[in-house]
Amino acid sequence: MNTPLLDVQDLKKYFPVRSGLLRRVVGHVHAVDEISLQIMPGETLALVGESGCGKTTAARTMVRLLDADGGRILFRGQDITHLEGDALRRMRRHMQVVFQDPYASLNPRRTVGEIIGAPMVLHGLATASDVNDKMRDLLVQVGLQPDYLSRYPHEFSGGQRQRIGIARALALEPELVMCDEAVSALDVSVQAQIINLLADLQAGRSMSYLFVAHNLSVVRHVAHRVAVMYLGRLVEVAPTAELFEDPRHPYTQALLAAMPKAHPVRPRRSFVRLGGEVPSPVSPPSGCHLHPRCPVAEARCKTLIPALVAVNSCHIVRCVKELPRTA
Amino acid sequence: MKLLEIHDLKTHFFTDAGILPSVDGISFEINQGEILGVVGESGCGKSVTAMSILRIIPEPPGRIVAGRILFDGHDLVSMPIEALRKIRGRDIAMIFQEPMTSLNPVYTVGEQLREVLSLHLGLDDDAARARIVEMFSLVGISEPAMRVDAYPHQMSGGMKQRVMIAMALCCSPRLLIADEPTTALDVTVQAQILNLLVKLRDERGLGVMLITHDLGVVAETCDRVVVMYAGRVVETACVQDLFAHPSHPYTVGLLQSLPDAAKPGSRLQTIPGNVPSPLNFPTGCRFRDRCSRASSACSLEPPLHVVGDGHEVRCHHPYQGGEHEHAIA
Ligand SMILES: Nc1ncnc2c1ncn2[C@@H]1O[C@H](COP(=O)(O)OP(=O)(O)OP(=O)(O)O)[C@@H](O)[C@H]1O
Ligand SMILES: Nc1ncnc2c1ncn2[C@@H]1O[C@H](COP(=O)(O)OP(=O)(O)OP(=O)(O)O)[C@@H](O)[C@H]1O
Ligand code: SF4
Ligand SMILES: [Mg+2]
Ligand SMILES: [Mg+2]
Repeated sequence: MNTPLLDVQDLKKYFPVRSGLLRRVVGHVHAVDEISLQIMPGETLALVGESGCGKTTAARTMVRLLDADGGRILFRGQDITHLEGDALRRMRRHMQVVFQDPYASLNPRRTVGEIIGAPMVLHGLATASDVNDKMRDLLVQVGLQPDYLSRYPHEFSGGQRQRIGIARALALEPELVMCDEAVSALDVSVQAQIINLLADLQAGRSMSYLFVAHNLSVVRHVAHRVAVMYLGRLVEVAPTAELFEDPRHPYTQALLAAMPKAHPVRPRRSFVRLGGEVPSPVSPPSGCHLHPRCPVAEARCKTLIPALVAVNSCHIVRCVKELPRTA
Repeated sequence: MKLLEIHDLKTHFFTDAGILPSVDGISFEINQGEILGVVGESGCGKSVTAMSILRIIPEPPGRIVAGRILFDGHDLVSMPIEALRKIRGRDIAMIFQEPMTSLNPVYTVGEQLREVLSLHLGLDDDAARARIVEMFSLVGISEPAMRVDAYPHQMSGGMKQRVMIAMALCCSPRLLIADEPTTALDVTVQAQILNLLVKLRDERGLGVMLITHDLGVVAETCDRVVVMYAGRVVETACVQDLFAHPSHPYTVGLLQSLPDAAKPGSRLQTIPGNVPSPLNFPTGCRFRDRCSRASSACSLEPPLHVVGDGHEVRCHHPYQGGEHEHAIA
């Protein structure tokens, strides 16, 4: 077995919570709570889960945009957890991010050409003479008109900005791209075009993707494996087909049940919902975080933090129902 | 009863490169107690249409150059801006596409909602706080009483989006313009928000303009749908008809691009070519460069066909009757 491109071990990231007039620290959000994940070269791993469960934070910590509070991050076998300065900058080229919030991540005072072109020249991937041609090619690949190069981010629609972010990430020919809701602002035909483009790059250059997305139809289509998070913890990881056919964790099951389908057959169906309140990440429920909302919870779920158990060699799940029964 | 009527709206941008006819002669209506879905290619003018209704187009470079927008029979386009300000946020509320950029980073989210509540409903601090906490729990924000004091950057994308939804709904508007309100939300929270909108529609007669790319959301929540392409409305239908008998070639292409329609990992169907730049839209039908049914007639303005009850399409060669067998697995 070859080495993973990215190997994340027991990653932790906490945020202080402040309150009151003095803004004293009253607790911590355990945004990422001991997450371990591997991404192989040429693999697409999807990260899904409830809004606020820590996906963006996990992705940002993995590419060193945030400093980890614990754990290790290995890129091509090299420990990059504490890399700094030039070494960090050089490594960044290989790990690009398409941000969830395209507008906030594009410099409003730079034209599209400057946003995409400057890093290419900086990293020696283009010269002053061919950078324009390369940028035009990229824009066409993401479905934008080449004459957009001289325009500013605010002149674009949400989906156009998202594609500018994608073009910027792809410009540096990275090995790993973190796509945080990268196609969610796109209509389905442009979305299909981008998904095909990402697949082509993967086939041609063996690129890897960490794909954070709420749209499960898209996840099912693009991902090789899916990791499901709930309140900072991984609750299930499995190959895509297996996860959709045989979800083991009650949270995964609820998620799949809530998936809207483009079937107009019964447009008035009422949505399947998890019972109870969305819990606070500051003081998460004891034991299994899902227990107050879980339809199949038993008494021990309140106290026992279930370990991740292997269902088979590539499917793991964190639920007491899957723990080996002791006599 | 008609809540909003848009007649032949044109909003153009006057840029150094030329005039962009981003919204170019759009008409549709929203009834009381109706959720109208608006779908269409990225950049086709959905957000510009929404911003035109509230007259918040950045001017310059943008300007409403023609058309009428009637709310309760009153034309919002020609109304004095002071009168419109009273309507904004109170009778017509909007959820913006990029919630992260529409919240002010230097105020807590509670302070931002309090301002809206005191402006429109005259609530004092205590009453406002109670109302905010109530709204936060309605939209599924955990520990609402604590979150009131959080700054936007301390919240995840989906939480900020729910703050925006709470802000839009806190004054009980009659019309809600929701621009991609649930894209940053996971499917369970999305279901909760959509249920809330459906409930407000049924119980209070809320009218909703729901802009979304998610055809699953459209199928499950909308009553009628407007499909836009390159600044124009190309098809209008009730939701069942749109999915069962899509008529415009663009609508058909859109439904065929759905990942649900394809085998996992296989290549997805796309519509050939790219959206034309608004600087040089083709004459006649703006879809014709990419359309498999185009003929020489298509370089002329396409006529409006009525293909069913309340089902209209602007095309020279629309799919009709059982002609298009659309099969989504
Ligand atoms: N401030 C502006 N200056 C110049 N052009 C603009 C401006 N705002 C919008 N446009 C143009 O108007 C057109 C329509 O944009 P709009 O934001 O309405 O698209 P949209 O349908 O909402 O797309 P999306 O689905 O990507 O959000 C786009 O081509 C865009 O470039
Ligand atoms: N800078 C910060 N300070 C304090 N708390 C933060 C900060 N950034 C994120 N959080 C908290 O960390 C948790 C995880 O946030 P994150 O943005 O990673 O969620 P997410 O899974 O990406 O959600 P979404 O699907 O809504 O984008 C949330 O409870 C959020 O409020
Ligand atoms: S008018 Fe012609 S080009 Fe336009 S959609 Fe209809 S058939 Fe296609
Ligand atoms: Mg996020
Ligand atoms: Mg938009």
